[in-house]
Order: sequence, then C-alpha cells, then structure tokens
Amino acid sequence: MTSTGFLNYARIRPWWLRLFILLLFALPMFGIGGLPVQLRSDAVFQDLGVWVSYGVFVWLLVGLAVGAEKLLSWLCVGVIFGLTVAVSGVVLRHMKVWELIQHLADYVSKSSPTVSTVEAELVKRLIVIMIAVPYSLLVLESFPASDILRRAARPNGSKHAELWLAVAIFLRVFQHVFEVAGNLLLAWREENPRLLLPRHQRDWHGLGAGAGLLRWIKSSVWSWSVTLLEQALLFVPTAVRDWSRIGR
Amino acid sequence: MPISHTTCKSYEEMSSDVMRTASITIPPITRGPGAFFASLDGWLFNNSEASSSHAIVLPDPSLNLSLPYPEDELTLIAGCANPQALVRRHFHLRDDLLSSPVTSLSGGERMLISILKGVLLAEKTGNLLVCSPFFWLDNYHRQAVRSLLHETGVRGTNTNVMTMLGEVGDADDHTILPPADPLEWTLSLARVSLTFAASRFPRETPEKSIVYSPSEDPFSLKSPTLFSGANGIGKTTLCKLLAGIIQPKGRKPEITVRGYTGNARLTMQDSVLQLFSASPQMHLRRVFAHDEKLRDEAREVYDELQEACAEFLTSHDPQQHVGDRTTPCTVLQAKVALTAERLVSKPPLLILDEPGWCLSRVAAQGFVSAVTRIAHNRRIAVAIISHERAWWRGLVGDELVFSASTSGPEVAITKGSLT
Repeated sequence: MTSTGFLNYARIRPWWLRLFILLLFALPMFGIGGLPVQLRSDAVFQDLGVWVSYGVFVWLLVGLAVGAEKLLSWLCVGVIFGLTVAVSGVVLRHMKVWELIQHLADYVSKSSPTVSTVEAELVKRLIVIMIAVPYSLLVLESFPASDILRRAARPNGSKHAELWLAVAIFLRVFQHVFEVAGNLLLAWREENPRLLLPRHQRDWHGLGAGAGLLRWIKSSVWSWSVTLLEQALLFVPTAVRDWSRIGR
Repeated sequence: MPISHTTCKSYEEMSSDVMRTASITIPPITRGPGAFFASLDGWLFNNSEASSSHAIVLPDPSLNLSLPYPEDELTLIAGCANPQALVRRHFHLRDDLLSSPVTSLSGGERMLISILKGVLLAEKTGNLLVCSPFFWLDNYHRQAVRSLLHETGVRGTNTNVMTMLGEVGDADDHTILPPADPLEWTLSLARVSLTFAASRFPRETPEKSIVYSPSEDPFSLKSPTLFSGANGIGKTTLCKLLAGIIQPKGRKPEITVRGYTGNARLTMQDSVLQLFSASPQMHLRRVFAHDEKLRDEAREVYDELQEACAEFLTSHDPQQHVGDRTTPCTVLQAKVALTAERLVSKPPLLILDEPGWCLSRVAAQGFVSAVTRIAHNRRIAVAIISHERAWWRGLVGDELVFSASTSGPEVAITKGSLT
C-alpha cells in the first residue's frame, strides 16, 4: 500500500496553536528571522543560498504532511506562478522600466538597487514564490472549512456564527479554487500535452517564435485567471445557500 | 404528493425553467466571460424566498457540493446522522466513498451524493427541484433515484424533476442511427493499472487501485466503440490514461488505428470546463492562435459538424435547433467546437465522455453520428462513454463492458453486444 504524508497539522488543537506553529514557519517570508530581505551586491549567491536552504526546510515540512507527489504538484504551481512573475520582470527590464524605477528611487533613497541587483532580485522572487505557494496551500488545507462550520453550528458558537461562516467561505473558496485547478490542469494537459508550450504552433518561425511564445503565455495566463475567478464565483452561492442552512 | 415532470429541449431552456421555478440564474459559461460576469448579479446576489425555499440539484454536480468530503455534505449541511447507512440503503455505494474527497469521485457518484443531499434538504424546505439527474447514472442507480424521488413525493415534498427530452424515454421509441463506415482499431490494456495513494492530510483517505483486466489482448474493435459499466468503475479514468493526461503505474495502454499509434484526444464529462471560460468561437481562436492553417481547417470542421447537427434536428424534431449561428453559445455548439479542435489534431482515437450530457436525445444522436462520420473520413476511431446504450444502437460497432470483481481492485473488461 502506498500512502502519503506523516504529519497532520490539521490535527493540532486548539486551532490558534496550529495557526501559531504554521506562522512560525513563515516568519522569514515576513522579514523576521535574519534572512536577507534585500540581496547584498557583494554576496548575491550567498544570500540566494540562504533562501534556497530555507525553501528546502519549508518544502520538507510541507512534504512530510502531504507527501512527495502532492508537494511536487504544488511546487509546479509555484514554479509556473514564479516564472510568470520573473518573465514579466525580465520583460520590464528589457523595456527599461527598471532603470526608470531606479532613477525615480534615486530621488527617494541613496541606496537604491543597481540593475544587476534587480536581476538577482527576480531570481530571489522566484525562489520566494516557490516557497510561498506550497506553504500557503498547506496553511489553507490545515484549516478545513467543515471544522469551522461545525464551530459556527454549535449552540454556544452562535454569537459569532456569522463571522465563522464568513471565515469558512473565505477559506473554502480558496480550497475550492485549488481543487478546480487540479481538474483544469488535466484539461490543460489534454489540450497542451507539453503544458508550457501550445499543441498547435505551426506559425512559429525563427525570431517570431519568441514573440509567439510570449503572446501564448499572456493568453494562457488570462484564460487561467478568468476561469479560476469564474469557478470561485460559481462556488460562492452554493456555499452560502448550503451553509446558511446549517444548524437550522 | 405526485412528482411533477418538466421536459426541456435544451440546456438553455432548462436554465430558464430553473430561473422561473426557483429564482436561480445559472450563469451562461459557454457565452464567454463578458456574458458570465454580466449575469453574476442574478447568480451571486439572488436571495429571494423562492431560491431559499427550494432544495436544488443542478445538472452539473460540481455546482451542488460545497464541502470537500461527501460525509460532511450529508451530515453537516443536510443533517443526516448516519450517512453510511443511507448511502448503502439507497444506492449500494462502496463504504469508503463518503470519506473520499469529492474531487476523486466519478461524475455519477457526485450526482448521487447531490441527489441524496437534495432529498435530505427538501425535508426542511418542502420543495425539491432536480435537474437532469439520470444522465450520468447507470440503470441500477437510475431506478434507485426514481424510487428515492417517489418516496420523497409520498412524504409530502413538492418534487419537480426536470429532464432533457429523451433522458428518461422509452428505449423502443428511439431513433435507430444508421451504421457508420467501418473503421477498426486495436486497444491493448494488459497489465495496465493505476493507484491513487492513500492520504493522511488533511484527513485520512483510503488508497484506491484499479487494475484493468481485459478478456483479450489486444482487443480488435469496430469504431465507434461504446464503453459501458457501473458508476465509479473506472471508465473515465481509463480514458484519461488513453489520452495520456494521467500516468499508469506500469505499462501504458496502446491504441492502434491502421498502424498509427498515439494518445487519444478526449472531450471530458464536464466538457464545458475545457473551454477555459471562452465561447465556442473564442475557443477556436485561442487554441489555434499560432496555427492559421489548422484554425481554418477547424472552422470548416466546426461548420460541417454544426450543419450536420442542424440537418439531423430538422429531420427528426424541427422544434429543436443548434443555436444562433452568428454568436454560437449553446452547450451543443460548445461541444461541436471542442470536437472540431480535436478532430483536426488527427489523433488515432477520439473519446467522447458522456457526449449527450445536457443535450436532448435527438441532439446527442445527431452530434455523435456527425462526429463519427467526419472522424472516420479522417481515419480517426471514436469511443463513447455513455449509460444511454439505447441511444447509440445501430451506430456503435462494438461495446466494451466494464465490470468489477467481487473482491480486489480488478476491473474486468469484456466485449459486449448492443443487440
């Protein structure tokens, strides 16, 4: 028998202790814990190494709970999201937007980042997103909406029932979106077996291929964003209609 | 109280009937994001008395379930003290189904849980509206749902069942489709298996394995081939394996059509999701944005398919139509667009998973026979997953019947006969 995960953070009681423990893991992402928020120009690789080490620690914590397979799929989401941010950053760099920002920043601060640091910052941002995405999904799954709804339905919980209901819907919408994203990924793979390249690309020749790829990425990001937003919105009335009946 | 039945010719007609009866606006996903967001007001903010006084089962079960586990749907929302006993008594579903994530259930299983939930909620609301509940269900579960709805009516619940035209029709009055031009294909499935790992987070969920055990290897089949079997047996899972979008544990299945091998293309059960929120025309523009030649070819196939469906409808039921040709937006046109895209990509096999969902019988028959004709002209074999066996009589060349072993994860696959 194959099974995944050894730790189950969702079982830590009470809920605030669970939240506290999970938040502890995330402190470096909030700038607490000594990890370099700004990369030093004379120690870029050293600073990036520290972030990667922290990433391995977080991935281990996530992997121990959800198993290697799910961690990998969450990492894929993180990589795609991170690459989208990084590619946008490179495009902005080539459009000289960073220089413009740098010139503007010079008016504000004497220690504004150099262009080369900006490029390293993009790499750091990619790493941080690859850490933040699996971590956020772990946190979302550690607070099952059904537990919160049970709390809302308790006779002595009715004082804050509306609040718990709102929290549960907020959490569940995110969880639902990631569930739908799983189905969408299958639909996407069916349409584009190589995932990050379109199935039909006969018009891509020479230098035009790069522009074509960028256009395809833009249209794909748009399609995914709109679809996920639609699915999130589709879910809300069902949840509200169902959950407002709880305890009645 | 007697059950009232309403029959609809199209999904769009059913949507407006739902609006009239229960004041719920179902957003038009196939019209593109503009129309979707314009209709959100009715969907998101409709809290009229009519909508809250109805327990509603919509034709897409993913719109009926709001929690990740079926157990919670039935206990927490519907207030059932012993859901296991209820599921066992009415539907004889497997014991671990309630603790499995909703996302891992088959379409039919999700529909059954939706119906149970609706029936339980109706005890509080007094009104039950069930839309197109039978399509994804096997014969045994159709009968079980009919009995359950009858019981609900007898208990005094005002029950309204909306079905697509032909969804619960008498098998004898079905149009018999003419046979397709012959096209043979082979399917090798020996030692193909798949395991969905058990999980401990956030909740304990059991491992599930499927081992396909074909009665012969390879199967030599006539296209179109019907895949049939009970709900949750693993038909859709096999199709995902054939399309290469999930990977088996060991050996991969092999499809061969006239010496050509490759992955199948698949239109899924919830095919509307495959549009990625686009309208049919937008979908073709998006998918072929980087291949102008194929885009033109896909548009030709789209027009040919749409015309064939329109002709079929005119000759069998002139009151039905494919939809507005200038701004295509019906579920039928969405399926036509998805299929046209798949046909021009020239796979060895095209799989239509529940092609008739949200279509009337005549529209589904016209659609599948047109797809088969065009596919065979292009040397593409066709497989259909469907519980509506009688709809495809005459057209289907061979049938593969999926059946579970009494113990263990083996799914026996044998050649059946539609006669």
